[in-house]
Amino acid sequence: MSGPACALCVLGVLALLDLTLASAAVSRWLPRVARDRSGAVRGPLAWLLAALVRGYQLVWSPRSAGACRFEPSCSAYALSAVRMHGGVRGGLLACWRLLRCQPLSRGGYDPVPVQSARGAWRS
Amino acid sequence: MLDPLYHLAANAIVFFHKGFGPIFGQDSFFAWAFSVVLLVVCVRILIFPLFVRQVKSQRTMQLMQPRIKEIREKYGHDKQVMQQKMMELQKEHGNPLLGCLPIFLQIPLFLALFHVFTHLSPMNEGPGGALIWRPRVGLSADQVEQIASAKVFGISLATSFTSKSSLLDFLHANGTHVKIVAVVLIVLMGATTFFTQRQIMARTGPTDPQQAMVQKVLLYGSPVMLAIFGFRFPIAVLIYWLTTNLWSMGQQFYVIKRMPAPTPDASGRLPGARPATAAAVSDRPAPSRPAPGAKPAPGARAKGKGTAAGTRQTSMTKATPPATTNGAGAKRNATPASGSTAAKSGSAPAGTRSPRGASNRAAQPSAGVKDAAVKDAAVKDVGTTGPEASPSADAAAAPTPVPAGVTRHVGGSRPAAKRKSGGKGKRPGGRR
Repeated sequence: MSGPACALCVLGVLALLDLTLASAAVSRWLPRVARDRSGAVRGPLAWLLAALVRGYQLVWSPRSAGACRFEPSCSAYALSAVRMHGGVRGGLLACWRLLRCQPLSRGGYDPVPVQSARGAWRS
Repeated sequence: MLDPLYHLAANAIVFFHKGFGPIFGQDSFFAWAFSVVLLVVCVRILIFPLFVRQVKSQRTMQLMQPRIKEIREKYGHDKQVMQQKMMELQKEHGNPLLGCLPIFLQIPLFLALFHVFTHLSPMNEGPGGALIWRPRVGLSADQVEQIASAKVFGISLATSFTSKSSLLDFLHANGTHVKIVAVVLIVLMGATTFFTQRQIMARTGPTDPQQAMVQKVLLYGSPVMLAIFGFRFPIAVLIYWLTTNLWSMGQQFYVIKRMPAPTPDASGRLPGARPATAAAVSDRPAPSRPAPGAKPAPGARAKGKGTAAGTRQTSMTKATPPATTNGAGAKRNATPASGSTAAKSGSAPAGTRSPRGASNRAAQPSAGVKDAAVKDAAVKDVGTTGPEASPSADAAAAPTPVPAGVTRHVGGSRPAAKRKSGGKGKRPGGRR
């Protein structure tokens, strides 16, 4: 198999794993497996994305601070979205948020939507 | 996907070379190097307005942050009310923010530049993997050859520290000279990165010490990382990075000099600044700012002795709200110069609101600003507070210019000082 196809396969597996871990059923029956103590999804994709956002916050955010139109700023939103909903759904939420964060949008308070049955984690 | 941008950038280099060519000679290295520099500068000039607006909104954001925290503490449980309050707050300040998307729109620009500068070299597609000139990034093979084989002391834009001897031979370049120049450029690049990073850190310091620590590591780590990467990139990319770094350094200096509000240490702390600003109210846009900047300075200095840059930054961010308080205070005291009781009553609620809690007290000064801003009904952010405050203050002080300036000054700077001491644990309510 060629390189890109391999990468795609790995990514797909990671995404599936992530979705499973973030799903409501798994977090109900295996809460210790799916989520760590602070309530973040344990998936590898979620971890990777969270690390990326953290890196952005440390390296580039001081340069571009105060640009965001929303209250939890885009990076904070992305971080908590990934923690709450896992890499796939959280990542999509973050992308959608980034697309909304432009001069035409209204801005304002826009927290990560919580859809958990337990609602134990809020950050 | 970015092909049009690549073509644009590459052809821009050729276009600029038409100007530089006659000056330095058609196949001179410097003609092409200056074309590269000019291209980079043009891109940076293009996005400069973005930068200015961003700095402005950053200042607004710094003002709003305590209020946001307050709202979050108060209405955090109720999403609806919080949304409403946030909208009110943003309306009050205006929403000058461009949003996060423009930041991401800049990325293709830099990617395009990087791509073009790394691809101005021959390809090994000749017979037996030999190097051969090929049309690339929208330029003809001939143009690429012209750019890559323009040399000075055996240094070409296409060569890098790690370039193979086959490439060096093909270009008739001198490997030693290339290495020396690459190292010099990398060192310069690392230094400029370091200084820019430090300036940015000074401008917008993090509040929590752990983050300050990580940022410190980054401050020293990122130039080193860049330098390590730099060995693999051709001279053109190094020139590009050096130019952007110099440009952003200049931008930071510009911000610190011309829009100094977030950095009290740059302009405040000068004892001579006080009378000067009190006298020159009319021409400077932010007349009352340096005084409180000088006020927090002793505290900042005392803290700065203990630990490193992190604490200095926290004190700096803390120092900004009093500065704005003073700006509004100056306005409050200046506009009703005929009836000063109104000014007293206007500032009284701010004092009564103070006994609430340590964190709220820290957020207190700028809350006072918001009250004043609501009353004055025209003030949107600091940038507008300054210029608006100064003409009115000047007009009010017109009959008795110098004494009025002095009293306004004292009255303006006093609440900031009192509140600062109150924040340190003295009586929170006893302001007057």
